[in-house]
Amino acid sequence: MTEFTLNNIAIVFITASPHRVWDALTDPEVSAKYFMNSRVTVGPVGGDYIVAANGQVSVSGKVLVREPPRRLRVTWVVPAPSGMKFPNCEVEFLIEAAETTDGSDVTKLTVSEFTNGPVDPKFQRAGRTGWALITSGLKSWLETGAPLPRVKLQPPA
Amino acid sequence: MPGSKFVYVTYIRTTPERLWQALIDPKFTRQYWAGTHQVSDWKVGADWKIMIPDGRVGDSGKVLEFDPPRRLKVSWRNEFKPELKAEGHSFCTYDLEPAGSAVKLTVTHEHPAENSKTIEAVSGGWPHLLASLKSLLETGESLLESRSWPEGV
Repeated sequence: MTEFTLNNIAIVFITASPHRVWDALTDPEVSAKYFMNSRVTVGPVGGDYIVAANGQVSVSGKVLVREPPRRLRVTWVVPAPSGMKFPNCEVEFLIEAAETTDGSDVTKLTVSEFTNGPVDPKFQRAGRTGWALITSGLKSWLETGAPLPRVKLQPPA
Repeated sequence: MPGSKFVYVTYIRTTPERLWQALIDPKFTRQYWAGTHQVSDWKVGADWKIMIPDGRVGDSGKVLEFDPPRRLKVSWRNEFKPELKAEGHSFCTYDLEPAGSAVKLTVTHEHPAENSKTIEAVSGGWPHLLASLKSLLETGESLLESRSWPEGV
């Protein structure tokens, strides 16, 4: 068994409470506003973690850790292009209250992607861009109530 | 490739022109960049520095690329922490790309040395600073903790 090591990390600070961030990560109605139009459904520990848009599943995983509103860790299974094999992947969402001088709610969200093998740099870059878009969209939605405009991502080239 | 590198990508609902201004104009940077402002003639080869509110120079270098509103690159040496200053110059690049009606901002901060303390230090600062910049441009309000220089630093 190869150890899982950190492949990508996205950190964002959001003016919102940890509970609101947790809800946004686990409520399919909210995720549709920032997760590339996808509904994210999160089962109990051992249950399914599914990302799907218009019934088409893009990520199918299992819930490994579910500790609202602090930590969610899931397996992250995405189909590899034909002839390729991706290493196993786990994604962890860590939600921490940031210290503020006036006691207002600011939350630090850290999304860490772990793999048990090397990832081709172009897929790593694509992953970084994808996480940036998702975390940026989440922040915009929670802070302004409006989603980020749709951005079309180029497939890894 | 040897060396140290930090990369941060964020999408902001704004225009490239407005984001460019927010990156260099003191009346913007003071709101999200710990109360600091930058001083430069903003042309290739010009000196560039970040001024701490109490009058100290925070970081300094030269403008290496200046292509508004697409790309800005500066050399960057810390001036107030001896162990970081001793590492010499790092390089910071801002790339702005239109993404639909938003802008993709990529900040790449590199140092030729491996395990650079400078890159370790800025890695801890950029996510908060850039989150605050995004809040400022999208909501009109930066994150409170990013508006003033931290006490005792």
